Amino acid sequence: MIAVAHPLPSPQTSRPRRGPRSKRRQQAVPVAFRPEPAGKVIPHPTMQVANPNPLTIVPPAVAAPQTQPSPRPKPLAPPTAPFWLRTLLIIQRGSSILTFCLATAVLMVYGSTVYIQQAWSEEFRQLEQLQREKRELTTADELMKNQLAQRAAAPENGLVAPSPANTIFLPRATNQSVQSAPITPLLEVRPDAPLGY
Amino acid sequence: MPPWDTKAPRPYRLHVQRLGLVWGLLILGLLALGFNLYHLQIHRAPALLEQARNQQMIYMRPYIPRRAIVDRAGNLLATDRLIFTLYAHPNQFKLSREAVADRLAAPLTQDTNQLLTRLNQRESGISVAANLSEEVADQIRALRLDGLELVRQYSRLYPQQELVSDVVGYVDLDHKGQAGLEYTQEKALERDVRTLQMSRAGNGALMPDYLPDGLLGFDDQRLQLTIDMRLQRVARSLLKQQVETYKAKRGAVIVMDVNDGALLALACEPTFDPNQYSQFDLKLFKNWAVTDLYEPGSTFKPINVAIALEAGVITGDESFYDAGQIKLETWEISNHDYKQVGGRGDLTIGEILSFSSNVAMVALINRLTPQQYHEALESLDLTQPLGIELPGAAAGQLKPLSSFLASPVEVATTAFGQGFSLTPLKLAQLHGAIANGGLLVTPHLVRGLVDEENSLAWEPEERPVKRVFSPETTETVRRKMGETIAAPGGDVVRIPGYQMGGKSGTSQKASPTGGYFSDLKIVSFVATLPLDSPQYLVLVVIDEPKGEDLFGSTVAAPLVKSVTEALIAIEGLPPTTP
Repeated sequence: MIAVAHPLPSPQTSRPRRGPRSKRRQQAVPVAFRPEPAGKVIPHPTMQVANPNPLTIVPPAVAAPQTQPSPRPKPLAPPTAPFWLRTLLIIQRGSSILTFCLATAVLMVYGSTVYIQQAWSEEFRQLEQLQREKRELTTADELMKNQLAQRAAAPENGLVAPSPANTIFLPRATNQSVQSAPITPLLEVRPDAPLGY
Repeated sequence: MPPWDTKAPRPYRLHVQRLGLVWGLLILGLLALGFNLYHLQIHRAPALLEQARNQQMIYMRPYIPRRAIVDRAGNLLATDRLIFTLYAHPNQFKLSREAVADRLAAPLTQDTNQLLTRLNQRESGISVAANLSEEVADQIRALRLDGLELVRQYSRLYPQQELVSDVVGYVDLDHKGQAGLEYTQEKALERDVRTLQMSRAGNGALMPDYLPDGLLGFDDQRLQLTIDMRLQRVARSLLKQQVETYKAKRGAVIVMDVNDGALLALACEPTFDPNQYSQFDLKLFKNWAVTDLYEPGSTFKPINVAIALEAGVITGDESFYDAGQIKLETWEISNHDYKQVGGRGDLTIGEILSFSSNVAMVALINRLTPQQYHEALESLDLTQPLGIELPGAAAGQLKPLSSFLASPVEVATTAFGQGFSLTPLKLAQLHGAIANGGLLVTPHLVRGLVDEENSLAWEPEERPVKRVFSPETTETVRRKMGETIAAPGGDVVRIPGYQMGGKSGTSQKASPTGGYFSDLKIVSFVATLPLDSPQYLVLVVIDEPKGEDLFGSTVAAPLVKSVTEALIAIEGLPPTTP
């Protein structure tokens, strides 16, 4: 009766299993408790019943199911579940989506706390390294400045101290010269003149 | 109803004993686990908690250095660096002492045998090497030897060595300022080094869970000075040369911005290298231009002229008679060149300053009553210490009013700058007042705390300014000082294209037992420029020069000229006359 609802296994795959299974059925022992010879697959209990039905009981006529249960589909067509059930179903669906989202969020937050700490630790190490490099560079720079200045002070280098004699003072440019400069009009580029060389 | 239940399952025997055994085992395991849980969570909890803390928590001191000191242009004058001290604990060595000594020899650049003898000293706590740089510390760490300990310390580095040592000072081994600005600006320079509790992950990475706010966001401010390193360098090297040439006891150069009292250069010789302060005499750690008093001599004459002008007892174009020598009570007062030149007769104020006539100066000051004169000197804050940021600023000494009233000699000697004392910096301040129109500004070295962009984040409180002369008075005195430089004797400092005002000074040194040394002199020269609207003042004082022809105009003046030339070039002062 319910056999129709079960998917039909393909004959090729089910056929080799037939021999041992029919033997088992005669003994009527639940498959799960029986020791199985090595290398054999324990079939699922549903398959056990489903397999023989279409092949043994169901007659060859394909039209048989069409003629027999004609009035049945009609009462099933409008599946009117009670209101509370529908509400519960909606709540259940909603809450499972919510749960999924929350679980994802929790995982992300947890992951980020671990990640942020690690990232911080890495950045901190980098900060320390940079501080150290800065320290070393500034120190080296200033020491070099001092060294250069000391070397420059030696008379044999021929360097002289700054003085007005070696300084050039330029008079401030007056605005007049800027204004008096003639504004030359931009040259018009003739479109037919060759632009490249 | 599941389809396989259509037939009743065959009843089978339940193995009760086996089930009971399994159940028992499970319950037993459960109980054991529960007991262990109790044991760990309640019984051993405190001890375990502590153990975990010890493993996870570390005490970290983040890098928070003492603030750096920079000059006007941002050149570093003092900065912090990290150094390490290596300690060895041989009782924790996993290797033999010989092997440890052998491995340490290379990074420490020490002899293996020497190291070994040191390692054999004790079982623990041997200080193997100090002042190790970060690179060396890294190399030692990379050896991964047990029983070695590297202790981190801050150390102050003065990259310019002795260049600004008398201004900046030094810090001792405890990183506390002991001289100069390092001592007085401790508050601005020091930052509290916080110790942080941090947790550590299994791989040794630091975890920021207990981090306090604003820990790493420490400001990058530096203490900026008004000193110009280039000018200071010129001033120091020239002063050093001059002190060596004349075998002088000491010397000082002061370059000041007369309008606000900012010191562009302040160099004293001899001085010390703050990186190795322990090798120098304690006496060098003070800045004698700020802490020591001297009798200014003739450099004080323009101040006296200004006092008389301000009191209205003389006018700018009056003349005063110079007999060359006068006798007051039992004392003879004569000009420095009386023996060669004799009396000069009537002298204008410009000539008095030019010839540096003592006798005419006494006549000029005698127009004031002793009381008036004493009051005027007091109003110059001669006996108050200067508000400069250096330690030990000395207050000048002036005889009390009673001795001014009792003896005309006191007034007369004060008239030509002897019989009282002040610091070289105080003299610079007084001449600054003549240059800037009569305001007594506070000489200072600190500009403030600046951040990375060189903008001021903190400024010291506004410094007091006091008016002591009227602009008209100072204008007159300035003109007279300009005449001094323009006169034939002024060519030692004259710079073509620039008009300056100046005055030399040569004074006998007072002996601590009373009276004066006949052979010990202190010479000085002060100059301001440009004459029309003075901006800068250069003062040179040289103490106890030895040799021939020792005067302010011969020993100090050439130095003033060289420093002024450098100042003009560095500041870009355009010439007034082509």
